[in-house]
Amino acid sequence: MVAVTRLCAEGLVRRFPGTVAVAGVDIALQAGQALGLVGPNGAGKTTLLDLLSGAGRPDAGRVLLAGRDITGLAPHLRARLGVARTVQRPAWFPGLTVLENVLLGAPRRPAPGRDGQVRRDQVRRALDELERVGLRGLASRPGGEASTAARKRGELARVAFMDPTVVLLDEPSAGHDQESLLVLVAAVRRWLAAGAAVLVVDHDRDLVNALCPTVLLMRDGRIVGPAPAGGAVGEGGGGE
Amino acid sequence: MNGRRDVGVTAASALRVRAWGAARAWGAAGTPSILLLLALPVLPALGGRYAQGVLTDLGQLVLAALGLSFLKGRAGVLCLGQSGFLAVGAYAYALCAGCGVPPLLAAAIAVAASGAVALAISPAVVKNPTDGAALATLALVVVVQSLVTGLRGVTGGASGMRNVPPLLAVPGAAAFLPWAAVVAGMLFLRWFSATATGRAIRAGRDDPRAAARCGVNVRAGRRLALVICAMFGGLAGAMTGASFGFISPDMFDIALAIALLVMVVGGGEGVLAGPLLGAAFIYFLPDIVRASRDFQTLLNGALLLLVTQYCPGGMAGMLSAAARRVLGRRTRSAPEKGGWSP
Repeated sequence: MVAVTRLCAEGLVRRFPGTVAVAGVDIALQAGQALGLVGPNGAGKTTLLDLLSGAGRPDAGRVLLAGRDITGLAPHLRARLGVARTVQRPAWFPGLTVLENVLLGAPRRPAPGRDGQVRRDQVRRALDELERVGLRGLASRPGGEASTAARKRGELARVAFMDPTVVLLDEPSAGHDQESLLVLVAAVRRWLAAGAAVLVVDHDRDLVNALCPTVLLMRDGRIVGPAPAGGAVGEGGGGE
Repeated sequence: MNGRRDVGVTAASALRVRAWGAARAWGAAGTPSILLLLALPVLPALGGRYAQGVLTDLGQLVLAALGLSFLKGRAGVLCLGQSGFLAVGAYAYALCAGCGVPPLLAAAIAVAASGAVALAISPAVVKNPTDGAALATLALVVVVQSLVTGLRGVTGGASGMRNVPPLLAVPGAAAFLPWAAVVAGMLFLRWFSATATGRAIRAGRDDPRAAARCGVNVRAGRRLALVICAMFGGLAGAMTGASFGFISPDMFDIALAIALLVMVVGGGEGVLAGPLLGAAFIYFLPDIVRASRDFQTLLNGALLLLVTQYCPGGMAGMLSAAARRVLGRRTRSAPEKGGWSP
């Protein structure tokens, strides 16, 4: 496959009082490629994802989405442009039904067509995505009744529903049971096949290895190179 | 998060889901609005002057509380200044209708004026839906009150405006119109909450950051909800002036704003029947407990504390919990925030 860069960042720096969380990171996410990012706690992985998704603003550097500078763009606008981001706690809304939780990702400017028809198509798509993650039967239940694992899976259904071009997964394995982990892996494979770029940050090195042919190591705010296989380097144990 | 494993579709569960959804939608919104709809034609014929007066007052309060309930319950924005929007509506109506503008058009202008004021103060409100919104809306009441008191040449100052024309010169219209607006407003809010925009607003209430990650413009949603709330207030204000024939600044004070908030929270925020129950309770309390008349504001404050502490679902929440217990359904926590969703 010819490498198409979906999202790239150049010279990203993010300082917090007394520390530099991200100290000059260049990263490029290619279409159809899953990139893993590992490193000790406090290495700046989550801050980096924040800068890419818009949850934080860099002190220096820029973020390009398909060549367009989105450095100053608000998170919800980046999401509408196809940048999906998950964090450890699933984006789940107890006050919405399970179906509505998925429909929330519907495009603001829907496809042209008769209003009712467009809406019906959206609902059908959303139900299909729920079917894929095994939640179809709960579609009209309130989101607040869903278990943590169900919420994680419902979030996957919404991300899929959003047709993302870039998916940034922060600790995707947290909160999943064994069965939902398979759902997660299947979802990532589908996004990749559809040409999305996926960045995976996770403490579960086996999962990262299974999903990503390339795994980078981040330490002290920098990407220091490919991570050694096996994942012994500063994983999990609270940092070095 | 009750540890229940997710199950696939079975015929029984699908049926239960559908029945449950229907019962929920109609229980939350349909029953009160249908009952009201049936009662509407009877209202003007009902009783003597006292009953008419009670219906008029109560209808206006419920209308104002309905907008507030939407803002608080659906968008999660705290508004301590609904009486400010009522004042804007009342004075806009009185001024326009006083200049010979047809009353119905004047009411439309009043609604638009309240919406415009809401838009003007929205930057402070949408940024911080709790502290910031509370302060900004509280300030609105004070500012509007001192403005209409100060502009003596236009508004008559503290002595108010007399001879405000009625909306419709038909006997009983003053009691009928607010309730007609309440029914229309309930149906509108029920429909609107289920649209994509309403869904986005509710998501922004549940978790603003997560909603943004889903592409929701949380601040725009709050702004729209504030404008809708203000428009309900503006209409209620216009009707207040039109039914009394008189308005003065002290009719729209902070005590009214607090009382409206108590109606919403006490009745059950975000549930359509909530403002109805809450308004009726607060309105009739002085009649039931004579002594409470002198301590109304104090009592309102105490009620607000008690309800938020011990009964976050309000009266509607207590009733639906009781109903569920009687019907043998699972008794989950009462304040189902998505109470209006289809």
